[in-house]
Amino acid sequence: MKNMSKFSKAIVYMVLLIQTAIVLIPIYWMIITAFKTPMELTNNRLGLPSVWHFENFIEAWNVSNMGNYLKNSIILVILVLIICIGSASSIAFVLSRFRFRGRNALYIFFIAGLMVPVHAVIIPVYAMAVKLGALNNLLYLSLIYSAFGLPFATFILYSFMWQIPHEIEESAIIDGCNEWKVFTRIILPITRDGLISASILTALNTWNDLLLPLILLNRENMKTISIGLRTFFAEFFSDPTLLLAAGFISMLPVLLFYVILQEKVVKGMTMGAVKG
Amino acid sequence: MKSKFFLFSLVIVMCVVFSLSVAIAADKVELRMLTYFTNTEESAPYYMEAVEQFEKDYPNVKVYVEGLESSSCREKTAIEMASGSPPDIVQIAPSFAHEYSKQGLLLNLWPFIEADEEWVNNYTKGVKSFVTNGELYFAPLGINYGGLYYNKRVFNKVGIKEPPKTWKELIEQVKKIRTAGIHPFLAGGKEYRYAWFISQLMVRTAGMEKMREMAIGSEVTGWTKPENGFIQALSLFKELVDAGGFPKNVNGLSREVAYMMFVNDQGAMWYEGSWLIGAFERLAGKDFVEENIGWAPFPSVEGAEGDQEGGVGGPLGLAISSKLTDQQEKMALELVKRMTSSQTQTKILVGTSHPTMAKTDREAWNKVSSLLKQEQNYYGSIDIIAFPSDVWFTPSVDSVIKEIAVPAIVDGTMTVEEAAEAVNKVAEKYFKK
Repeated sequence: MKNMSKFSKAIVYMVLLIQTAIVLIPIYWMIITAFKTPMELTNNRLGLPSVWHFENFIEAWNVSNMGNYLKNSIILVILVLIICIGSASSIAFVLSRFRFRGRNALYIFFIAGLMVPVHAVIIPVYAMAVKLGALNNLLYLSLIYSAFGLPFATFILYSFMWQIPHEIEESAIIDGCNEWKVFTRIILPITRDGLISASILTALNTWNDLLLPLILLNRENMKTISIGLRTFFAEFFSDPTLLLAAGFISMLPVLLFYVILQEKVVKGMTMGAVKG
Repeated sequence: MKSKFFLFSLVIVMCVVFSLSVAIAADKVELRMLTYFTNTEESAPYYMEAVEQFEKDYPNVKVYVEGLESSSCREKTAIEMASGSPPDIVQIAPSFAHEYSKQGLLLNLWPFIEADEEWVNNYTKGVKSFVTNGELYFAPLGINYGGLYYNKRVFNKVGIKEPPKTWKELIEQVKKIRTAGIHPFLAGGKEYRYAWFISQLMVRTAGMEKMREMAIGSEVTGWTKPENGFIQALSLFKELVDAGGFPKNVNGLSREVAYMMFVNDQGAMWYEGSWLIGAFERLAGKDFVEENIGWAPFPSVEGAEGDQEGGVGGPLGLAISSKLTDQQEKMALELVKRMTSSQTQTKILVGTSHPTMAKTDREAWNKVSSLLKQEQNYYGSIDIIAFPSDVWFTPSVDSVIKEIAVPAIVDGTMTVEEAAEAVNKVAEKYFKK
């Protein structure tokens, strides 16, 4: 940027502004619509509300079981992170730091899971849940999410761990570390950015997903926020203002999570992309 | 010795407790119901009231009601049916009930309804039109009828005195309204809400009997045959589109926004089902709807060979799984009977303006919208009531009609012949299995 001409800089900034607008306008619209009535929405789609209806948020919270849905989603995300990131980090460590026959084939085996869409296996997953009596079970659901999230998390963490010089490891072994201590005290701290990136992306995917909770959770008290938002759709009429108020509430935890850790995501993804 | 005695006693006590708990559990009946009764669904409180009363009357029965909007409900039902573990009770359209019954997943309810005097007398005579060869795989809850809803204020503004009675009049009015800068017709194109319009056109061009043949009879792959009327229906629809009948962006217009536009005088007419009355009332209030919205039957089509007096009516109902235990089945039948009862359905009619298949008294009808009364009077006087495509035709055929063929006619990406061919291809593929 330093060496660019003013004209080039202007072009770059204009493109960035347009991209920012594309991202922010829907969010702006969502927020202002959440404060309107359905009738006002027709005549005033993009303008600020004439009256700010804060009660829409209270009604959205009360009409649905938002508190419970949020709680279940948070529990699910925590379980998935523990299982998925825990497993992926171990798998990536073995694949990246050890030499053994079949290592490449094993790596491909894990990564190949990226090509399996959830829709292809949803019926057997449901049938298995019924047979195991595992419907309405957040732990079972977290295992399914972890299984689907494992390839991607392994891919990211492998890219990070692969770059770490072996000399660091060797020094640690000379100093008396066994493999477990090398993993927990050397490798994991160094790949912290990768762990955070993988965690954020896994958490976002789990939070936003609809299909698996829709199929595997039947009881009202077990549902997650993604299903909860669907309850604002009625068969013949849906109130968009309530829906968007609920959507805004459901967005807050994820937004907070991302704002705190966003720098790590960008750093993590770009590091992995450039050197991996 | 003492410890052995203690251990032995403990084992005996545990066996007794376990046996008792199994015995108690065996008496407990659980039913899972999958429905469209989401928290924001108008009729949900009335149905839940019926469920709560049922649980009070049968304390050993626990009913878990899961409410999802229709597309999620259908998706979930399809997956559960495919896995061989259907919901115990499920809200369903007749076309889906027909498909699942072929796999033996649903209980034939007609023998139970017919054998129960109270239950069969609960329904109007029209329920028998849903029975085929003594089989009925869903108990009708409510029924929606098609109608041409028009905005009186827009009509006054444009100088139109009454709704069209013929297709020619309709096209003339469409052009006049378009010239005034108002959308002649509105529809929820984003949600592919064209099924009822096309179905009504097919009643005019093909007739109910031919539609039946194309839905479940000998003409299931006859969509491209001119004599079956589908091509003519699409041609009429194209004529309407070309006359400026719909907004240019209608394929991306959500029905909620379209409702708002209609009550805000940005649209003149809307053809779809009875639920529109409730939707407009929720937006603009009952008084507004009584004063400013009108209802008329769909115009006749000059020279068309179908039924010029016929209309469109679509029920939804509750189906029961065929995989229940005897006790579950008995309780499920009782619960469905209560939910389809005159008592429950009358409350829904008065509270939400949703018409019902159950008999309701004159007092109830005095409390409902005049639009609904007009509609009921019309449909009570005619013999021809066809199902709309999203209730009658095979789901895959219905999907291609409303999600591909008709939107393509609207945006001009397919000709009428290409659209009919697309539908026929899907039908051939499906029925060749």
